Amino acid sequence: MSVGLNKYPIEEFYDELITPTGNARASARKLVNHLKAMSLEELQNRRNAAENTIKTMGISFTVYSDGENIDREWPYDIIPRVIAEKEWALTSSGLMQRLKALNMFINDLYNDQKVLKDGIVPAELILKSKNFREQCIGMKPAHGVWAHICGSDLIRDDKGMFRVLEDNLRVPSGVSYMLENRKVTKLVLPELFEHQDIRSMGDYPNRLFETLASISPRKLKRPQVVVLTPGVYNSAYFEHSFLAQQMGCELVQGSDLVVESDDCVYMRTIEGLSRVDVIYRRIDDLFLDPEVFREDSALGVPGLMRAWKKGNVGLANAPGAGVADDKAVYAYVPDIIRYYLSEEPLLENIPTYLCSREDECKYVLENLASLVVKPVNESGGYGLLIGTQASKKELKEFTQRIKKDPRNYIAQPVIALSTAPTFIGDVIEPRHLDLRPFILHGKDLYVTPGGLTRVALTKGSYIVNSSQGGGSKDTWIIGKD
Amino acid sequence: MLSRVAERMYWMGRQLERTDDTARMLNVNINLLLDSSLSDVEQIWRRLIGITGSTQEFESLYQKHDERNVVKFMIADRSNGTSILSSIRFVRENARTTREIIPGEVWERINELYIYASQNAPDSLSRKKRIEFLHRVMPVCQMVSGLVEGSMRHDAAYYFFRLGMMIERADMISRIVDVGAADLRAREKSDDVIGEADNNAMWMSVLNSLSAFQAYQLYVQGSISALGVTEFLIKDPRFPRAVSACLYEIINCLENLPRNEEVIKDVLKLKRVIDKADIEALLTGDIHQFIDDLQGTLNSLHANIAETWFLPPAAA
Repeated sequence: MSVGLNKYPIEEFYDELITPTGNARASARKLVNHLKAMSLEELQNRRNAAENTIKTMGISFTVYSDGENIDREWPYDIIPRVIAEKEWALTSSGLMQRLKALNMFINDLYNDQKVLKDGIVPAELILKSKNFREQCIGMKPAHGVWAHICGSDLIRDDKGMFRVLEDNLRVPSGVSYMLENRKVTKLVLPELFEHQDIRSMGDYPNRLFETLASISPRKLKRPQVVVLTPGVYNSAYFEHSFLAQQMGCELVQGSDLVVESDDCVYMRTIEGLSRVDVIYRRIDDLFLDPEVFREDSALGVPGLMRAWKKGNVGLANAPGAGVADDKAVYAYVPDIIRYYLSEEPLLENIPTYLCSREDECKYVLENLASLVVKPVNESGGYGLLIGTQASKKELKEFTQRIKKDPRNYIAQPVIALSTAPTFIGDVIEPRHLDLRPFILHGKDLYVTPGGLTRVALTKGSYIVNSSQGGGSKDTWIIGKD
Repeated sequence: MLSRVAERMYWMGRQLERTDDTARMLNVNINLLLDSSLSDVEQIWRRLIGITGSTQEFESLYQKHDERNVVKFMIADRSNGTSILSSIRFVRENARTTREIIPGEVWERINELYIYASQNAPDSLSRKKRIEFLHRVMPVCQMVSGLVEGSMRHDAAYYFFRLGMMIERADMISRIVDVGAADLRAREKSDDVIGEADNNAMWMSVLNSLSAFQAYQLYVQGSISALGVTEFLIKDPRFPRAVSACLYEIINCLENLPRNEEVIKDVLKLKRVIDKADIEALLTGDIHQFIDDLQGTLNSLHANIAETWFLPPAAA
């Protein structure tokens, strides 16, 4: 008996695998036929196998709940999401274009500020941003690159067009889950890999290492690159450890590092102190160096900023890079691309209203019930309002909040996120999803083929964050066979 | 290699060994129980708690040294830091924080063991379940140390892991021998006529606790006696669960680590003491003091290791 892909409901959203007439999209044909031929029992067996694998491999994320940290198994849906390579090629170029421009933008902000003088982006927006770090002014990091690792969130609208929802230029996470999802899929649906040209993403750790090595101040054959984690209680610790392992680097904590009187960074090893060239830091700016930022930070390394500013250590991402992933700056990204590259953006934004502009704020307040309102500096899907789903009380509350601090909010129309068949209970149903590809920028630029697909497991929901009940899917970029 | 990671590897080795040793000891004593007269039973349980050095802790938590309490305390009690469940939890925590350097397979076996233990330890109070539990735990410990041996590069991380295992093992052997000897003295002092059979059973359980029975029989080829067993478990250079063999392995580990001069000196000194020890005289004299000194030296060896490699060097 088939599991219901035959009865798969056609909705008004763009579906990743099924066309509005109920047929499989060309690139997903093999997958869909395979699923249709599988019995419910078979599919459940595969799902159990996947769950066991995830548990045994310890693919987990940490959530803080009821006063303690709990390690949860990574939520994974066994039905992959498929994207045709031809379509992906354009998206990929668009992502590279975007990051290249954003890095030129950040470098400009901390040096000549031409973009502000030319009035492309309002100076006030930047200089008053809490993510603008005065301590970074005058700094010229290697290759002029500040954000070396970027995770951009893409969604597909009802026409099937990829649009950028946000850029994450600080410490984006999720890439380890992208890689582990692929491993799990290969184990539980191996037959699908036999006759299809599914792009491998296994090269990522190598590319990441090369990117990091390319910003080493010392030109060594193998510079000492380390991953700096806040520690085992951080929700992304699994990923920190995974990436260190995959790159063959030390995973260090702040207490393992020390800045000596020569303003170089060293780590404490069994042989004594050993010089560190590049730090892939997975802790926020404000915790990096208690001498410069938060004094009470026990996670950071006293003197680290001093070492970085003297050019004795590479920091990825550079402190201050977050100034450009502010959601209010987001609205200006298309102009930023035009300004620095003299090119038209290849990837579209989502129309965005800035509450800092009086007329736009007025529009937002009048149309709150049909908009999504986001605080400028939150991540993880926290603190946002989905107008179409909000109660009257919530709408009223948000009106107050926006009026009180308009600079802190932006609004966007509710975009109908695309869906994909997802195995829920014992039926296959459409669920909404997004996509987070990872872009690397050092000496060269690189985009992962595909990325991490996050899926909202609750029917009708748009919230895909794993901390709030989201799941994930393996993502296939498929070439012509 | 990072000092912090070295320390984690060392403790992972120690706690894995502790898990294995505790499981073996329990398993043997459960067997011994089946052969014993009822009056001996409490003695057997009391002895077990004594070996792990947690008499005080046990007595603060439980009233009676009966089977149920002791087994619960040693297998499933999370408030007992040396219970099998706690040890496995520590092994996993150390493995989790060194995942970037240990082979994936090693982590997976440890993680599986932890999942199994946390689900099954609480049910292991019935005799049947408990035997099943111990027989599941022991081979996994062996598998993990075998995987480390066979699939991890023999670099500093590996030697810290082995070092931890060997120090824990030497310590555990000395405890088991100590309790055996104490038992012997107690019987000699009492007016009971010591039955040859009783005595034999006790020393046999000592051997079995260290999986040493077969090796002893093959090598010593004699009757099982206090002297034979004690000498074998302390001085044999080739049996992996003898103190002397552990010291050889400890020296081997240390020779593969940087800045090792001081620590090696310590161990060589200890080695000479063991080699020169006259076990026969000690058995009629003060073997307890001898073992106490041995344990004291192992403790200061640990402190010396921590100072040399683990503690952050003072800022320049």
